[in-house]
Amino acid sequence: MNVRRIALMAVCIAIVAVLVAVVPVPIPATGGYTHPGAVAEIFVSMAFGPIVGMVAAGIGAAIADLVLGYGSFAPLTLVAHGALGFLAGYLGWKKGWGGMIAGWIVGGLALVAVYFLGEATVYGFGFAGAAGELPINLFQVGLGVLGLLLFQLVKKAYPQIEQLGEEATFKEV
Amino acid sequence: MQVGIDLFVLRKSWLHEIDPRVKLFFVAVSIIILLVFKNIFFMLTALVLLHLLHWSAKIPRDRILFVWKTLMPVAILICVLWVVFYPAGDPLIQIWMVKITLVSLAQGAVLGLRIMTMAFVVFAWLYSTDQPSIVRSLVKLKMPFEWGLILALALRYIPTFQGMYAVISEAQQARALNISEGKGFGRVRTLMPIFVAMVISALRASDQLARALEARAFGAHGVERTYLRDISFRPLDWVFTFAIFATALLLLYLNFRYGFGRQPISLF
Repeated sequence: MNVRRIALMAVCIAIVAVLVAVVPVPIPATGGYTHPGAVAEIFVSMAFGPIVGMVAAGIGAAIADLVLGYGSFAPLTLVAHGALGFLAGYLGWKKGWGGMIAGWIVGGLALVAVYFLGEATVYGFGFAGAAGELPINLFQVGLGVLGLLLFQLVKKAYPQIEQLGEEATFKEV
Repeated sequence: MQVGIDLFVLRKSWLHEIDPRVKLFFVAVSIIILLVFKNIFFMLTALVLLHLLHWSAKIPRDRILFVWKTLMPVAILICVLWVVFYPAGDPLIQIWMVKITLVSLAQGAVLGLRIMTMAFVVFAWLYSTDQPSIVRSLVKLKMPFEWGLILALALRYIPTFQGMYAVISEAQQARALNISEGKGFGRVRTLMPIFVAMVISALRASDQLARALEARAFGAHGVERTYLRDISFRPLDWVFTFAIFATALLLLYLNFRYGFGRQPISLF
């Protein structure tokens, strides 16, 4: 793996972990709180592709779970957010708006499905209990659409983003 | 919100002294056992033993309470959901359409306690192992060094970006950005100027980091890595590994052969 990709992955994991663990977002309907982690995850997937997206989203969110005290959910989070990162990047990376929106929707639904099945079976919520978590998870991935906006804004302000993670090449002139 | 990223508690205890690979093995085996067993007395015993483990490792009480406070609402929710949606056996009491039975109560308690117990297993590892040792142990377990470095760098940068977020947030508020405006989508949209500045700063940091690694000839061919602090398996670590393995094997044998711990209330 080239050095630039190593540095990029480490930084992307940290960005996701910070947005999941540190930034609270009030939920209008319940008065509770969620996080804008999906914004960072969609941004990373659209900017750097499925592999960086999967690693950053999965490991970043799992680290956040561990430091917030939800240690027992970290393995499920790793898989669910990793699936979102991979699918969003696979469908949306270097594609037009159609591909990016498809990536966000398919990746988001994959996250919701993995959480639903994991909580219902492995964690013992039962299907009724896991269904109760669906609206919160859907809201969380819904916020991810703003990751597309973040990507456009960052690309405009920092065009070098296109070359990050690529092997440095030098041309004699 | 300020979050402590390093969960490690510096103490001199037997648990801190054990090789991190043994603790990782303990975590993996314990989670398998906890997923297989479905008995309330087994879960309670496991929870008590794990508290003794934390106590013997001199983990402060507030760290243990942190786990309880965080996961208690989830555990109670699971218990209530099972009682409400999955009644089994004769009802103890019936409130309108909700039948509360001893079996569903025990099943709900088992599943709620399982979440707590699994968390204490994971935190026994994280509270007693510092971040470099965690990464070192994963590399020793044949994880490629590049991935170990990615993890170590990510853990190193989380507090930096946390601080960066706070600084940018204050700077944008000084420019009249009201970050307490809106809820849900509106709130995230409000925070977007902070996210843009933070992400660009972070990406610049990644570029500098890559140059620093290149300048130190990271990944140079034909060079063998050396370590300032290495970890090694001592005879006592082998004893612990075999003890964990033997206990797990015995418990699984009793479970599969004699049904030990399969029922929510009775042990066999």
